[in-house]
Amino acid sequence: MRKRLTELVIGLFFALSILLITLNSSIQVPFIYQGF
Amino acid sequence: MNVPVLKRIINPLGLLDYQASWLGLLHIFLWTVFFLLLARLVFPELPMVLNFERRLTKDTSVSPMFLLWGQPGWLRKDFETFPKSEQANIAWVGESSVNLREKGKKGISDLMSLAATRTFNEKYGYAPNIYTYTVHSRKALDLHTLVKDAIARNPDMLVITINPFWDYNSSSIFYRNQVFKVGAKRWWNAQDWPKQFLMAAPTDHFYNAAGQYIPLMMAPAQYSRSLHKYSKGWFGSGEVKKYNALTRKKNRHKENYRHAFDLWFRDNEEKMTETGEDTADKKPHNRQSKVMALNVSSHSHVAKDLIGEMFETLEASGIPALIYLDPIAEILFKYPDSRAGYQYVKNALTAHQSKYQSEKIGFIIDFPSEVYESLSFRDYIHLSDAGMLPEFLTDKMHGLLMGHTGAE
Repeated sequence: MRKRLTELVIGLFFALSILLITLNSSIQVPFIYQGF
Repeated sequence: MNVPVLKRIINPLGLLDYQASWLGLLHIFLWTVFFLLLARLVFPELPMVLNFERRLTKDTSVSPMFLLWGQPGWLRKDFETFPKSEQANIAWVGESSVNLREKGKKGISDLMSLAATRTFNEKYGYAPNIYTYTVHSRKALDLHTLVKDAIARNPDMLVITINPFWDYNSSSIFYRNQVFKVGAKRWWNAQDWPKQFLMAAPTDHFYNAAGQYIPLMMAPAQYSRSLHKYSKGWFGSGEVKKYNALTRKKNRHKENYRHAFDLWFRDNEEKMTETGEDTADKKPHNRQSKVMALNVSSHSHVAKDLIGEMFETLEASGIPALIYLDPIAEILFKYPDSRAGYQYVKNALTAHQSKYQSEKIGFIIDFPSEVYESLSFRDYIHLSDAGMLPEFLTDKMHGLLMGHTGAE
């Protein structure tokens, strides 16, 4: 049972990490709008 | 770090004693997927918003193909093929030169596709549907990807605008453009599959695949910008952030170095940083002319080869197409290296013309002098007034739609 709980926690940790990385807000310059 | 305290928190969760087995790892993976899918229910779905062109094309037969910057996938997904209609469907793969900025007015005042539609109505009494794939400073990889996307959607005709500054330019082939990464699914064919491994990074594939199902799973910068623009509540400010010249200047040197491949394949990067900057630069004429010169100085023909592949695909598809080279202000030729760069592009395009011109594929490389004289340039390539150009193009487009020869 404890093993399952650990696995759940680790899975949650991975999911949160992935979500936080994708929310990384280093804003890149929007090239598509840069005319020339 | 106070280890005993940490131990008291972590121990009940069993993390310190945990011994992973293969089955355990599978469980962890399944839990991760479960929580990610749960997140999909929690996080806001982004409504599909078309790009800036939508303001001009409302209630016309012109429709943008690009979504607002930051939307998942960048190209609209509401149809797999162009919707069947009485009128012909034309896909226009254009460059920034198709945006017209009238003198004295702020921003983009007109589109070539809109001007063509008006001319179609006046002269021929019908208006085809035009779907625009406009990308600013578009390079060969983007052009390649967009033409493939257009062909996959089965248009009745294609119009392709070739920009002599960027399309055949092999310098810094990854600089600026992003479309080929999100459009990499168009490369799953016999000709292009190696590009999947060379030109898009694994994270791009991940974001493209996962982003279809989980809105959060798109390249970080895209989603964060979307949040600032559209979301209220937890994550967004609810107000549109003004992206002004000062911000652009501040961010000028923040390149897209997320992916290692970019650094490997970036060549002449310093030259581009010095010369290929955004519009905050005070001397656009010198900057533009240097970019034209880079057509030759890169000593590479990667772009030309990619465009050749694009023409192969075009010919194989059997779809009628009109390809035209953007007219440019000839005062550019006062710089000998720029003139050499332009000549390189003209030669390359002429070579492609001699190979691919047919009844279905028409090329326009030089415009008649009365058409050229009617143009008003804002810089070496962008127009404030397109003069007789829309009518000239419309005549050619009409001819191709009616099945007349594509030869000039």
